[in-house]
Amino acid sequence: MKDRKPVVTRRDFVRGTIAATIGTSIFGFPWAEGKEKAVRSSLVTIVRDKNAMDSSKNVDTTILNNMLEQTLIKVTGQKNWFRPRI
Amino acid sequence: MKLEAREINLPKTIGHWARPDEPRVIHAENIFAYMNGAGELYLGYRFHHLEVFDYRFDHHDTILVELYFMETSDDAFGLLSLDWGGESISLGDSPADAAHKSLPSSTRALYGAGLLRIWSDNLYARVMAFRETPASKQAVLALGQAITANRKNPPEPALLQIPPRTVDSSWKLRKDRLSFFRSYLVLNSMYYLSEENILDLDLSTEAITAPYEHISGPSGRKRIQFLCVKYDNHERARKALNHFHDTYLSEHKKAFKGDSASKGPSLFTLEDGWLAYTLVNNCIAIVFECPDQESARKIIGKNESNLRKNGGYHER
Repeated sequence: MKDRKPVVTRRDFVRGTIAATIGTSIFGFPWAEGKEKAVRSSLVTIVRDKNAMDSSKNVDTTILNNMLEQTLIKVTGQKNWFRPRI
Repeated sequence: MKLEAREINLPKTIGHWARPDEPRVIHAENIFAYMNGAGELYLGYRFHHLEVFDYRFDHHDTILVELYFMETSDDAFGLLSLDWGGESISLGDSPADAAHKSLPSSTRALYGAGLLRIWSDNLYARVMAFRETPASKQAVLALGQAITANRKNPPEPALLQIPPRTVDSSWKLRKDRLSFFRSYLVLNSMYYLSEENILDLDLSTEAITAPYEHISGPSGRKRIQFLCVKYDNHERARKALNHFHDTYLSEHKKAFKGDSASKGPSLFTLEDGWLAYTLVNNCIAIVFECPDQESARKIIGKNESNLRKNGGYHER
């Protein structure tokens, strides 16, 4: 088994070792069985806005933009989100 | 095999909507140009081609008709079974063989929020009004009737007969979550197992998954996931179980020998509860997240018994 590339499974998520698994996968290190350290739990954000669509199911892009910005603010922990100039 | 929309008598107009003479025809080669990544879902089944009709009134008022011609009725059923949500609709078709009326009350069409989804023999259809009104709903349902008229209603996939509806008066199968599939990508969308195809699923395999829920009692855990896969032959099933064990249960000793007359299921304790699997002829059954060894043994045992009794699950 030591030569086999580690495969991410449901169990890695349950154990909280997903980062360790992906890390060893990327760098080609052998699977360090029993030495994985649990990483902090994942952050999931949900942003809702009842006005995002009107009664005809047309999306309000301004509200959608605000929702995306709120998501990024929550994920990054920053107070503001500045759109990069490309 | 008749796979043309010409066999389906779609009206030229319905209400104030009118369709073009010819459909857009989508094949596996250009499905991603039509629907981007969602194409994976349809290619995860035995997809033949898709015909698309736009019924238009004006630029903003359209009813989209998508006719997915699949190679078998099981594949069309599988697409419907991915989501049992919505209102069950009778389109006036004849019911299936009573012996196979096992699952969501022989539902063949579901409607919700302007979208009608239909399983009709080897056809899976989506009829969607982009603006839902009483008139558009009426038109959508009328199109559904036109699509299903004079078509056969084969029974559900035989594999659905395997899982018992209840186990030991404690566990009840969630029929409204029971899905038929062939691809590990589709499996992962219902119950994430692995980034890799660790059960060797492909278009030749048949698989179902559904949760069992605890009916009553002090048990803290309320849900167990059941999975059953049928392969072409016993050797493929044995290899697939080997692959699954080596990847998912690598630290556990393998108990099965690979013969179909094995001495019963194998059980393992994992981080999220007990896992049990069994190999019967060309089928594998697995239960995940059981709260204790006893429930794992009972549920896998009942399914193993049904696999042995049902027959028909022998090498093709």
